[in-house]
Amino acid sequence: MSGGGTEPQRRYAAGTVVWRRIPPWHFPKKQGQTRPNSPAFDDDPDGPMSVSIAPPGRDPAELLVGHDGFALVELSIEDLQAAGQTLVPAPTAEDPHHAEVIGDKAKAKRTLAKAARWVVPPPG
Amino acid sequence: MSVPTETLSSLGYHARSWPDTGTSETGPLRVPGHLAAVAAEFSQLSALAAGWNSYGAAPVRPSAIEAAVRVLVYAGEDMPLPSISPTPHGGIQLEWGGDDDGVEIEFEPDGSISVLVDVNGELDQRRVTGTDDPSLADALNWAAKLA
Repeated sequence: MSGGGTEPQRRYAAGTVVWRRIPPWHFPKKQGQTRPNSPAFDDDPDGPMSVSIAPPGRDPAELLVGHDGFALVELSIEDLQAAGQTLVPAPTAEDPHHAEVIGDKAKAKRTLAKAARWVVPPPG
Repeated sequence: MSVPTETLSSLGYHARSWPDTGTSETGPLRVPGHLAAVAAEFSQLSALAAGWNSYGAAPVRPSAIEAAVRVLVYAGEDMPLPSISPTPHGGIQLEWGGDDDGVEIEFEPDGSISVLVDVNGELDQRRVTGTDDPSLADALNWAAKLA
């Protein structure tokens, strides 16, 4: 393995899908808006934006355990790349599918919000 | 005709004590009556605990709320009310528009403000220095047209 700068991107195949939880405060609120608000796709204070890889057959409800009232969206690796982002594996003890989305979010967070598709839509 | 005003605290918003914010506010921030609904939302957001997005988000800082209120007061009572969102870094985002075209104004806890205008998918993002920055006025004018 060369360990080159683009290596992490190669860890995931074309068509890879990731999930991200959406808190109620980022649900669409205004008439004419159906997508989450863009701050839902910003980096976190302690690191890059977290996602979880969604392999075929994985139950999306798994990510919402303990997060009542939250929704879930999906993005493809192509969506991430189109927004100038790199998907990097970052497994944790709690989530072996955990990954990080690395890149400047100044504009990308809106691009990602527009590309996101509801997997578990907001309740009600 | 004078615009009725309230203070943030009278509308339910009570700034918490933050030892490291260094806020420069020297008196109660006056909120025009047409922003009462907005102030109520800010009050709710100010109560969010750390980790509110499940990914370690910071609590919303009073400095960000105050900066957002000041811009909304500057925008005037004819300005359509925005959609309001907390940001993971403790800031506030105001948004006008729908799924596609839109205007976002983001207030960071450190006092910095940025605007992002989306026209047909073309994104223009820039920092603004305050209410006297022409880029802010341009963004607000565009937002008013979108609403």
